[in-house]
Amino acid sequence: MRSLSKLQRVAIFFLITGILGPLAPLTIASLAFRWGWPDLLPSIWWWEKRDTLQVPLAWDYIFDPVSRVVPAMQNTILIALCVTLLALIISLPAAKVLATQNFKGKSLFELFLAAPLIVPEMAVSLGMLLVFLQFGLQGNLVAIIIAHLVPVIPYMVRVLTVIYGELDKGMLDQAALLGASRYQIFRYVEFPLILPGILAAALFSILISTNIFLLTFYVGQGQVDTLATLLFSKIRGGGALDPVSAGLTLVIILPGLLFLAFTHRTLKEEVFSGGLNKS
Amino acid sequence: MSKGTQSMNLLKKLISACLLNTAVLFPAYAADKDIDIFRSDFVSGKLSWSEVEKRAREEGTVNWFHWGGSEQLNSWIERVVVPKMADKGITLKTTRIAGTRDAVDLVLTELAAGRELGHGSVDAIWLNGDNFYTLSKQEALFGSFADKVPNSKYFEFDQDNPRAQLNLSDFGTPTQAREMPWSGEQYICYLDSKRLSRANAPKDFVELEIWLEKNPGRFTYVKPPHYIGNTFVQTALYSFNPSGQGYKEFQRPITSFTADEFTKLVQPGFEYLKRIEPHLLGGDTPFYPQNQSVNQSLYNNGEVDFACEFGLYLVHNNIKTGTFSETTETLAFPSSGMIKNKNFLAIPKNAPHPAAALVFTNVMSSLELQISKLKDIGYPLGADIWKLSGAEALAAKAAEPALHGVTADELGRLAVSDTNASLVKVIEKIWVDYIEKKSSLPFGEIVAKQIVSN
Repeated sequence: MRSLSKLQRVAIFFLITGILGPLAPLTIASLAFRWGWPDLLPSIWWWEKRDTLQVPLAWDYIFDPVSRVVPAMQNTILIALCVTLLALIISLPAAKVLATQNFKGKSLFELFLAAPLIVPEMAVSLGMLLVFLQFGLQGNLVAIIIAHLVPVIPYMVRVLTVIYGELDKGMLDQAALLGASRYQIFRYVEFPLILPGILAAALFSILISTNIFLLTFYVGQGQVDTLATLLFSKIRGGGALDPVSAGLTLVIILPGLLFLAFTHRTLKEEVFSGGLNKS
Repeated sequence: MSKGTQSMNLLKKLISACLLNTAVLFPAYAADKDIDIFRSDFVSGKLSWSEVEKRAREEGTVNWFHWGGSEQLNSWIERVVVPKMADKGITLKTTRIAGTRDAVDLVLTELAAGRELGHGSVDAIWLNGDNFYTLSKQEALFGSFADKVPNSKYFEFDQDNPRAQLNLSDFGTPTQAREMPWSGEQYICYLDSKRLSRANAPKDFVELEIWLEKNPGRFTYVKPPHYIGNTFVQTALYSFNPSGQGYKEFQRPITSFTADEFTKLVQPGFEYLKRIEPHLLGGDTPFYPQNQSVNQSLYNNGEVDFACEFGLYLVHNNIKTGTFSETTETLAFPSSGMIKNKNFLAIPKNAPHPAAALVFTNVMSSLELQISKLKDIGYPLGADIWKLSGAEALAAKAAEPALHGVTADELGRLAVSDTNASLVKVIEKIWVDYIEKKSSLPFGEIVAKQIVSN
């Protein structure tokens, strides 16, 4: 690997501080008992006080069953995975058509797709609850998963449309000429080519799903805890970053990070060593 | 911000309009006959408590929605309340919410979809003021229960007793026993004795102005329409009430005032707030924190020397958790009157488990839990001390956390009632127009406009 130029080093430095920078005070805050002006670092740390109080502090609270972080994490991941899978099944064909075909009212349809992003979340949430109540479909995971599809699909279709737009149709034709079946074409040519796009779209979907609060609360009738509902019940309205809020904020980053770590290998193998470049 | 609030309000109106129109399209989940009979029998006093408890065991669950921002509170509920409810054969499921408004909206949406008693999702909400007013106005409450559960004996519900006021009226809205008093609060201020000595701290609004001129930028208050900000403004209005009657006129509903009368009542207070504004934090571009936690951050970061919010034992609780420095003390400000009120447990009209909800409110108002809550997490008694026996009152006294620099007698002497909810709405709008937007209209016209638009 050749060494980096000065400019590149500076760029990487800013990139890393930009991404990791905000996490530093967050981590410190999550470990503090008392951190006030004018101290640069906490004057009393959490571990100095943890045995003197009957209530669990900071990370003790987060790991205590009372915080409900573990079931909330399970719910969050389960919801995000189901939403992503369903959204992919719905969005892939839609994106393919949008990228490759022209039809009457296409731009209107694209605008329609983005509608849930334009309408305020409050209106979408209460409206959706009203409809769900009609079907007796509320207050559970299924309702939340269906509800999350609404803000996720528009993003996903957008990302996948771009990917399909860049896909060289010639490659699919070549495979067909060589006698590949439709399934084989999809499995061995089309799918590997769009995989990076799928993973990017899936990451989007997971990040969005893990952060939806209002929709989760109303459609779930407050009966299902997720990391977002726990965090929002702590910090909504802004304000002091107490140790538990700071810790929860760090915890809520986990599902996205896990997914990144998980897909990192796949991306590397499929895209960079597969030798399939767009030429 | 105010524009945001306005459009938010508009949005809410639109949503509720839509909800009302669509309601007719939905299949009704009307209350079952049996559950409706239970409700009317209980409210009219025909049911014995053991019958209620039996039904509650059959229901098996109760869903309580409460503000969940405090680890101490959440832990206390899990540790103390959940086992007590389990003894009664009921599983307590709590939903931790950031804003009580969310639970109220959930109830109203369900009602709009035709979900009546037994078919909603919320059994009890911890609330007061605005949110109770909304549920009451929308007729979304279960009914008069608070004076009928056994532990109501610890609460003064006698209409003829002036001390019952805090239980009978919630920000001026008659409670009619449709909510159970659970906890009390008083508006206090706190200072860091290391930065500002008690002797140098202002004691009333006149002294505050002089103090601010000497120490510009060292104080601010939470921005209305947040209730903490509203309360500060109300306290100032009480203090400058030209009749000298302080809080008295502010107990009346807005409909009992002409625009002229109301202008006269509040003008001196608002002029005062306008006068001190340039000396608040930020000076020419005054900074009003969005809520009490932002205000606490300003205080902890040394940007202001003292701050005010609700919390009789706030200083004690926050020193305990490390939020405040050890040198933080309570300040009795202003000497013209510090607003005191209670907060309550309300049961919505469409509670899915109404009997369990009744048992829950009874457990929460038991003396044992009232004292445990006071001792463990520093939430003041909801029960009325004069309704307790000698031994009970002593036990309650012994459980009181430290007040840090003031005495209970002093705070008790300065306690005044909060403002009628219908006035609160008008006052917050006048503040936004007159102080925040710096409206150029004469003050009387601002008031008239807001009264009409209300």
